[in-house]
Amino acid sequence: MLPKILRSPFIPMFSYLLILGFLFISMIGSENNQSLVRVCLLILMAFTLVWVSLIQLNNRKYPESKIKYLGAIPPEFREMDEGQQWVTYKACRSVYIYYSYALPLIVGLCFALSNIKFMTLLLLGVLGIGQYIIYWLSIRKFKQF
Amino acid sequence: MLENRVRELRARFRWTQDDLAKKIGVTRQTIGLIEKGDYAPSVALALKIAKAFEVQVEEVFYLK
Repeated sequence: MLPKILRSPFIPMFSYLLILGFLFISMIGSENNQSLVRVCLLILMAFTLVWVSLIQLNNRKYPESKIKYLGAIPPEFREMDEGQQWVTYKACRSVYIYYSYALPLIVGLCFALSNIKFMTLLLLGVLGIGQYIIYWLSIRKFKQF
Repeated sequence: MLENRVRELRARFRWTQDDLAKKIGVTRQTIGLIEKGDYAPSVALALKIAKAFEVQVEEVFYLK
């Protein structure tokens, strides 16, 4: 169960959303949201702490499939053997196809809606969430998730 | 299209997917992918599977 949780694409998606939320609240700039910024920062720190602790626990429990904290390869990539690498390849292919359509669309929307405050940040959020959802759907198709 | 008799041979040996996976050093999910025909294994893995069942590789994998 633990490796499944740690290798889920929802973990990086959640941290991505937390970072975006933190930036969004910080940029609003009103004095009332200072406590909200602190709460968001605290959640981000707590999340990081829990994540690191869970990885340590996983690495102690499953020394044959250790997860690196700051490796170049994301933890959601499955590279234990050739079958898992193939699943990762299929999921990455789907994400690449998604980006080839989504990037020009997002650039166009950023240009067209540039008068709306924070639109770029919001669209970047949508783009990133899309990536994780596409990756998860591809993995799920092969019942690997 | 590459077909296989992995499930059939596994049943003959009364092995679970996990048993076969451990014998050839892959994950259980990979055995599942091969059995379903979603994934065509490499020559090396196909040979390992055939060796585990003590048969020729053509008896496990064949073209249809």
